Amino acid sequence: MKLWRWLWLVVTLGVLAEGFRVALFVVPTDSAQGNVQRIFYYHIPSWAGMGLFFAINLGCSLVYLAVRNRNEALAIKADSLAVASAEMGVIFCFIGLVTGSLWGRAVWGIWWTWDARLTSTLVLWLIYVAYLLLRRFAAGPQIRTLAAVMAIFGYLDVPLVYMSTRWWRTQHPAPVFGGAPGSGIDPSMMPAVWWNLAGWLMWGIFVASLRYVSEYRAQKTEQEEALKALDYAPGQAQMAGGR
Amino acid sequence: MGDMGHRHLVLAYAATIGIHLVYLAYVAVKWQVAKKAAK
Repeated sequence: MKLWRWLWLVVTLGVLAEGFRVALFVVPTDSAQGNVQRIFYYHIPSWAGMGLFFAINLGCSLVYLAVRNRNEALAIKADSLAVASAEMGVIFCFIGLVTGSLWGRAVWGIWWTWDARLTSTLVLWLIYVAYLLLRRFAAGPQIRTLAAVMAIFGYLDVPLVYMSTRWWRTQHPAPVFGGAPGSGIDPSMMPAVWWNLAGWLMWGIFVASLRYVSEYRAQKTEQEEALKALDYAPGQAQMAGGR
Repeated sequence: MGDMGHRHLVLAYAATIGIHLVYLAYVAVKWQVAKKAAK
């Protein structure tokens, strides 16, 4: 692992430790919910991470589709980053669902309800799990193109998730940030939000960068082996080219 | 809420850290496999 990755990891762990300390021991306790409200400081970064990494996945899928026949080197990089970001997004989304469920159980008395925000988020998670399963188990030369197209359609659910608490008033509370006038949290609680937001996004970037490198290496090796196989079977290559 | 709230808070933090660590382990395995295959 390169030096900058180690440095990034050390800084990230420091930010996460500070975020943990501020969230649990520094910011005041919520007057309505008590200490369970502190789940918020891990819940919100999970959604931010999900939004960031699914957006990266969308961008990479678009780049892959645009350059796949013209610039193979860039296409492999874009596709590798698409895989890494989709996995990271799925992890953040899953954590958001789990922490939300635990919070809901403590505050609402239920683990789950089929309200607009929860349902649209679960559908989003399932779409990206399906995307990863497609990449893992389907075979054939067109699989990357198919996955990229699926990623673009899958991303259509992201704005729906974001707007769900604005369009429909169901069980999930109204948006805390960017909601109606007067929404938001007390400024004295914001340090816990900022530290954890920074820490978990830095963590996501670190892990996704590792995953990107391994996926890129795997795709490059696969490509080199395919080219080698063509070299070892010149007759077949000629026949295929002669048709 | 009381104790129940505390328990859910601890579970939420533990789940977040735990899931990230499990995924990190998966990524580390992928890293090693890809490195070995590339040699």
